[in-house]
Amino acid sequence: MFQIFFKSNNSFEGILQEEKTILVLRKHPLFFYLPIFFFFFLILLVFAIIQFFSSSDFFIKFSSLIWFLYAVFCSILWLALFINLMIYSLSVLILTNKRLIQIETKGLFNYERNDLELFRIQDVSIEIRGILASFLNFGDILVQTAGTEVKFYFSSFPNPLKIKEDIFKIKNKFINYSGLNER
Amino acid sequence: MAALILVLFLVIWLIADFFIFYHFIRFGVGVLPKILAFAFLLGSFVIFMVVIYTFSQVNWEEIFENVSNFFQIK
Repeated sequence: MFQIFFKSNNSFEGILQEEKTILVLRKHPLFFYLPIFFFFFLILLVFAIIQFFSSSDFFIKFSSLIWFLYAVFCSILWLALFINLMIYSLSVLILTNKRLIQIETKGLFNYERNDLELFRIQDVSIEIRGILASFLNFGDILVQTAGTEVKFYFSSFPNPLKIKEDIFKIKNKFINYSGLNER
Repeated sequence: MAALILVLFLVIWLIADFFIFYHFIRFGVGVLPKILAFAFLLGSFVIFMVVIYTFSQVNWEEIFENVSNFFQIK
C-alpha cells in the first residue's frame, strides 16, 4: 500500500501505447524549499509577535481569540504553501522514448501542456543567468524544432547541461532504434 | 454568529483543500505529488482540529462584551 510513496512507473495522462517514461524532471529544489522556508518564517514571526505582546492587557483580555485567529492564519498559510508546492510538483518535463512533454501548472485548474516528438528536435540550448543560478547550477533550456522559433522553453531546471546531453542521448538512441530518420 | 462565520470559513477552506488534493492525485507524475498529497492531508486534518479546538476555547459572549467595553474606554 505504501509502495506508491517510494516507487512509480511515472505514467501520465495521455501516455501512448508502448511509450515509456525515461526521465521526469522538475525545477531546481530551491523552488521547492523556498515556499516552505517562507511558511515557517511567517508562522514563527507571527508567533514571536504574539509572544512579545503576551503581557499586555489587550492580549490577556483576548488571548483565546488571538490564538484562534492565529490558527486561522496558519490554515490559510497552509493552503498557500501547498498551492505553491502543487505548482512546483505538477510542473514537469517528461522525456519518453517517443516524446518530450512539458506540463506547466500555473494554478488551480490552470495548466499548459506541450508535446514534442523526439525526431522533431533540432537543437537544444541552455542559458544560465545570474550568480545564484551559477552557484546552484540551474538554468533555462530552449528546445528548437525545424524553423527558427524556439518551440520549448523550460525555466530554472537543475543541471541543464546534463539534461541537454540526456535529451540528445535518448533522442539518438530511440530514433535509431525505431528506424526513424530525422525529417 | 461567530459559529456561522467559522462554518462558512471551514467550508471554503475544505473546498480549497479538496481541489489541491485532487490536483496532486489527478495530475501528479512520480512519487513526489503522492508524498505531498499525504503530508497535505495529514497537516490539513491537524490544522482543522486546531482551528475547531481554539474556536471552542473562545468565550464569544465575553469577547463581544470586552470588545464593546474596550472601544468605549478608548
